[in-house]
Amino acid sequence: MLLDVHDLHVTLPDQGRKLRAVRGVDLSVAAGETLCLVGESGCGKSMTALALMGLLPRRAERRAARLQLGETDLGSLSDGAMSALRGRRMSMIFQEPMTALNPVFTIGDQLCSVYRRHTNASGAAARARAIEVLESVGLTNAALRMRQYPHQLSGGLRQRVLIAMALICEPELMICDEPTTALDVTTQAQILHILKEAQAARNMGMIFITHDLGVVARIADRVAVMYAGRVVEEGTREAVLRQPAHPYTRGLIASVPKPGGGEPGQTRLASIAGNVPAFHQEDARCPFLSRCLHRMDVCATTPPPVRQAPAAQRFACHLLPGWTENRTGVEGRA
Amino acid sequence: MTMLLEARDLTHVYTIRQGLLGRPAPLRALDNVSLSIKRGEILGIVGESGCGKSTLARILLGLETPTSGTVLLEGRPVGDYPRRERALAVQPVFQDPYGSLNPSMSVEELIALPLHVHGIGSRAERQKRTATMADQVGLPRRALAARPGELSGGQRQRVAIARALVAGPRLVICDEPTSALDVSVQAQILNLLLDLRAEHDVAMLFISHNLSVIEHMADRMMVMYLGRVVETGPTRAIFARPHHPYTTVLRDAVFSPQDDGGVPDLGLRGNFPNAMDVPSGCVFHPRCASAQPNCSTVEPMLKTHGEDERASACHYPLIAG
Repeated sequence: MLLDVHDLHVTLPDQGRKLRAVRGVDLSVAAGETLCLVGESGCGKSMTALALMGLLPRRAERRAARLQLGETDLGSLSDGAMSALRGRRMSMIFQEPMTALNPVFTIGDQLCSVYRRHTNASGAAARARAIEVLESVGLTNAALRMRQYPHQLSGGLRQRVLIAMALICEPELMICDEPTTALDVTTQAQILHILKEAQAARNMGMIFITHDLGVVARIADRVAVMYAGRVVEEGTREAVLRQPAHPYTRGLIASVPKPGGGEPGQTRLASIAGNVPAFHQEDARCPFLSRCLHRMDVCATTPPPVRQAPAAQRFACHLLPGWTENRTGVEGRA
Repeated sequence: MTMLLEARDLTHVYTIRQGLLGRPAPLRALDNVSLSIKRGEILGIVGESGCGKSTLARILLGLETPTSGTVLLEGRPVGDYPRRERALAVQPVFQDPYGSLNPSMSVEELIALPLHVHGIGSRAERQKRTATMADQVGLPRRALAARPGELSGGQRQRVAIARALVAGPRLVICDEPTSALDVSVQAQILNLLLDLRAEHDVAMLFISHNLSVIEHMADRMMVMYLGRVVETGPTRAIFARPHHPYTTVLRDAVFSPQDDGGVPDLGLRGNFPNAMDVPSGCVFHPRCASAQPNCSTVEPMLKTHGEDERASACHYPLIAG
């Protein structure tokens, strides 16, 4: 396994209380594989990514039973060693490319400085490498782009520059945090195309964070659905999207408008009532309790067990594997 | 029957100065856009950044005066309306429920504000109407005393919708009302808008970059590209068979959880053009997979191709046979 994470916790201090942003997450990514981390705002997906990269806010606490990248134990690395590894063996791209690029340096300066930081390449070799990687992400006129500043590029081109920067040292793992959310739909399709090509060419592992289940359907090998700091369902794309087992996953999928799904302007969508629970809430009950259509008494008193669903994915719920909804209610209550 | 709202040949030109010493140059944000909305109808407008959809919204709201063209509200030029009367008839819901609500006012004050401004009802009546509106948009009573900062994004958007509807407008202009929200909350807000339409018979202009949201909400739709309407017609008919190649591209770029089979190649050439330097002929031709030589010289007019109520601006519309 390229990345192996077991029981990851992230806690942020907040006015004497503790915000438990990530609560016991297990994840793994193989070389060449895409894991999509799905969930709504505040579910802990970005905190999980920052914890893997060692980029959490200074006051945050991270602990994990296991945090391995290949043979390297990320949990025991010093800040210096982590910084030497970041950008070389694992890299990350963010939602807003403008804030991730420095406005006062040219694209070329920024790409070369990343490369020279991790290699002892000469200036000329770094420039050649930067042009090569810009061309590999479909940027035309790479030599001209090298001399331009971030504000001279469109959002889609900036995101390509960030991808090039993340790829320049040929990392084993790339983490993408909502890289296409701020882009137009046609640009999104182009960027996803470039990312998947770059991944295939390098057999790179990829963690792709998104709230867009349509994107998940197009790029994921495996999917982990997060809710309130936990992974509530995890399995192959086919299992999670076609035969979702957790009531939250089912609700999320149902709340997306479907192409050809009923008379325009006349059809109601299934929605999930209520809002996500507070970060302070304790683990004594199911975090989805207040919004779940199928809650039972046990859900309020006992944390949900992790079960294996018929399509082989794991899900954390008191409902039995293979539970079904029918007109009279739910079959498969524990 | 007169249309609730009719816009004819709207053209809007911004003058942009590029750089400190640059010469001012014209940017045609809208080029000959016409539309009409019937009472109680939802017209969807879809397009990517720079297509002119937000400029159109600002003109219809009266926040901007078009360079040329007319807007008729119930048959009367919108410029002839006193400002208050126009505001009573047309109300906005914007994308950002953080930026569009005054943070120092309570939710109750925010929702009641249009009633105050227009001097509708007594104090007690206003209070009652505000409470009823809050109920209808699904805001709990205890939220009335809260400030916007204490609410979630979905709740803030409910406040914005309640405020837009409280004085009984005939048209609500929704500019990307769910783009900043999570999907489960988006579903709640879309349901709410459809319920309110059914209840109050209010018409909506619904602007979005997300074609599947437009398909869900709109009775009729318009596709815009670089300030022009490239296709318009009943939503159902357009989705069944788009006539314009750009509509096809947009449709293929929207992914649904039921999809499969990797990221599609949209067949789009090049990048989104610079709005300051609009291509000749058909504005879409440099990116179009089915462009022919005359597409780069002759601009296609918006016209019907056999089906009533539908029109597209393409020399080679995608029509069978």
